[in-house]
This record gives sequence, C-alpha cells and structure tokens, in this order.
Amino acid sequence: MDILHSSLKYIKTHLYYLLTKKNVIFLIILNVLCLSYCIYISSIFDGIYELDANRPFYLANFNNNYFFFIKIVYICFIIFINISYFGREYSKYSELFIKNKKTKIVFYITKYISIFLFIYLELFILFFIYFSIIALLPYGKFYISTIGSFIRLYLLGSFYLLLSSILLLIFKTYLASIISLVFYWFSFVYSSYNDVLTESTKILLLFFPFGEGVEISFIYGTLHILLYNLILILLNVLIITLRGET
Amino acid sequence: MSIDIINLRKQFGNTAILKGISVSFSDHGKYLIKGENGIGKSTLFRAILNQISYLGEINTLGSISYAPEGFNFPPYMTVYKAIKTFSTLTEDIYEFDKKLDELLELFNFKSHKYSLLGSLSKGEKQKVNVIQAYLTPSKTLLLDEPLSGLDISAKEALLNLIKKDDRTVIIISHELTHFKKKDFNILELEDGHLTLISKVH
Repeated sequence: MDILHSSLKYIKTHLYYLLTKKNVIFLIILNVLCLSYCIYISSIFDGIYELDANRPFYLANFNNNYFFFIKIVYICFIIFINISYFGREYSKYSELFIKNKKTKIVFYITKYISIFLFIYLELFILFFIYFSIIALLPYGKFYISTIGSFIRLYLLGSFYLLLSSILLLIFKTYLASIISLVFYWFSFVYSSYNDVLTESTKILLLFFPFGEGVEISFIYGTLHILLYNLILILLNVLIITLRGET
Repeated sequence: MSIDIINLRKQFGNTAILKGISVSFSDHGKYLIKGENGIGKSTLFRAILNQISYLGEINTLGSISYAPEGFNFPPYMTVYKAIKTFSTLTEDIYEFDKKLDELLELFNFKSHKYSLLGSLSKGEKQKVNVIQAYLTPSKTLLLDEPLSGLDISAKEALLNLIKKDDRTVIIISHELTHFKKKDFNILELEDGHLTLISKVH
C-alpha cells in the first residue's frame, strides 16, 4: 500500500477519535451560539428602512462586532479541542498505529493534519455563518478581502493550537494548555483597549500574536506568524522525538 | 530470526525496568512471556514497536501486528469498521470480508458485526482487539494479555488459532492456566531480565 493511501487511512481514523460525542456537542453549541450572536449584532430588529438608510454604518458595526467575537470564540475552541485531543485519555490510541519508526512518523504527521483539518472545518462554519448573514441583510456587502481575514484567523488559530500542544506535551497537564489562552487574552485586552501600543504590549505581541481589527492584521506582519507556526511545528516534532514516548 | 533484541535497557525516571535483555525470537516460533503485573512486559512490546525510546538494539524482520491491553477504540465505530480500519492501516487484506466472517463465527461474535464499539462489554472489545491483530498481515504477532476478559470458548478459539498460525507469535500474560506448556517457549520477565524457562520440543 502506498504511503498516501496509508496516510489517508490514518487521517480518517484520527478523525474518528477527534469527532467524539463531547467534541461534536461542543461544536454544535458553539456554532448555535455564534449564529445567535450574529443575528443579535445584525441589528435586524432596527427595521429594514433604518438598515437600508445607514448601510455603511451598520455593515461596519456588524463586521467589527463579528470579528471581535470570533477572535475569542475560535481560539477558545482550538484550545478546548487541543486539550481533548492531545490529553491523556486519548494518548493510548497510538498503540495500534505505531509499529515501527516509519508508522510513528506517519502517525504524528497525520494526527496534526487531522486536527488542522478539524479547526479548518470550524473556520469554514464560521465563514458560512458570516456569509449567510451578510447575504441576507439589506446592508450586506461581501468584500473579497474578508477571505484574507479568515485566512489570518486560521493562522492565528494554528499558532495557539501548536503552542498549547507544546505546553501540553511538556507539562502533561490540561492547565498548561490554558496558559496559552491566558497569554492570548492578555494580548487581546492590551491591544484592543489601548489606542497606542506601549513597548510592553509590543513585546507581548511579539511572542503572543493577536489579530487587530476586522482585517485581523498582525503588527509584525503575516510572515511573522507564519514563521512562528513553522518553528512551533518543528518544536512539536522535536519534543515528541526527544520524549520518545507516544 | 523474526525479532532480535540485544542488550535492551529501559528506565522510567530512576527506576530501571528492563536491564539488558538479549533474546531472539525465531521465525514461526510461539513464545509466552510471563511475569508479575508492572514488571515491564508491556514496556518490552512497546520498545519492539518503537513506541518508546530505549537503549540497546532491536532488529525486526517484516511487519508486526499487535493487540495491546485495554485498547481505547473509538466508541462510534462499528465492529466491522474498526477491524477493517485497524487491520488494513498499512496493507490491504485479500478477501477481507470472508476472513472476518470466519473469525467472527469462530468467536461467536457475528451478531455484533455492526454493533457500535461503545455499546460493547470489556470482553467483547477484547474480541475486536484480538481479531484485528490476527487479521493484520504480518510476520510477527504480539498479543498483550490476549485472554483477559474473554469467555472460555473465545479463549479456546484464540489458542487454537495461535497454535495453527504460521507466524511468530509472542504473548505476554500473567495468568498461565490456559496455555499448554508443550505449545510455547516460556520466558519469564523478572527484575528486568528475561529468562527462558521451558522450550517447545
């Protein structure tokens, strides 16, 4: 069997472990919550003529509120999924996958691919909710640049996913994974509520990036977070290899 | 040789579990490794499978199939799907359905073919575990406490299968009641060392 065929089988099986009852319920609740919030911030109850008369104001307001909300929700979702997936209760399932050095590499690569696929799925749902609401609202206008915001949100999510999995691998406690959420929260609060970034906030954002505004732009650029993601992937691999245990 | 182990050492923290094990498992041989709970039997298997780091050398020839103890199966998979998924992860199986049906019949488990794993008892899950390992194409079969939780007829069925199997079979168990001395080379793991106790003639 070729490596691609085998890897696809591994990914499919990983997804069986990822799509547990707990995770699926969490996913549903989260998206229902997100949809309800979108309806709430759409100001739909202000009346169709009012919305039509002040289109730019309502659109900007909706976009601001929506992206402010999903920046919190998406990262929290990722940390939760990470804890549930890399946590101790799931560690035992590697036993049927790893039978030599080659299958060990395939196991870990496919495990990361499957979790990246899963967080991509959630991003797609968030995008779908956004797009549906925008399409239905009288002031709705979809800008292609919004896709860029979702891509950057995915990069931000990937960063915190990789960071929390490293912390979980090192400290072997769920609490460690929460640390990355705490730092994200600090970055979020300091950069959202300060008009001028102080030196300490800049340092904080250097190590714990946060996407500003509707564009989800990073003060050190997209390349910075891409580079971080790459470093974190390598660190994950290094820790798994050095630890020598599955 | 199917598996050749030279001076295998493993320690967790300051506790040495395996203290220089050297052993060769020959092709088609049947081996039973006994030892107390927590003595390092499963650690030995995990080292062979490269699931943990170790010192020393382990050379394996050909692929290995494995039935771990108390495996965590996904609860929303059916028995059929689980066995098919895990036994064909790296290699497809010719006439899989036919072979599976024969084994399910043998283990008196056919009625559960499409049951969800989450609805099965511990013993029933163990049947799935053992069947997937048995079906996996390999040169060596590693079974960790395979009789645990199985009913008498399933235990007999499994032991008969092992007896007829052409592969190298290595079993670890702390209970020896059901194993016949004449069918297995018996080794004992004690204080980090593996000693041959009796040989098949």
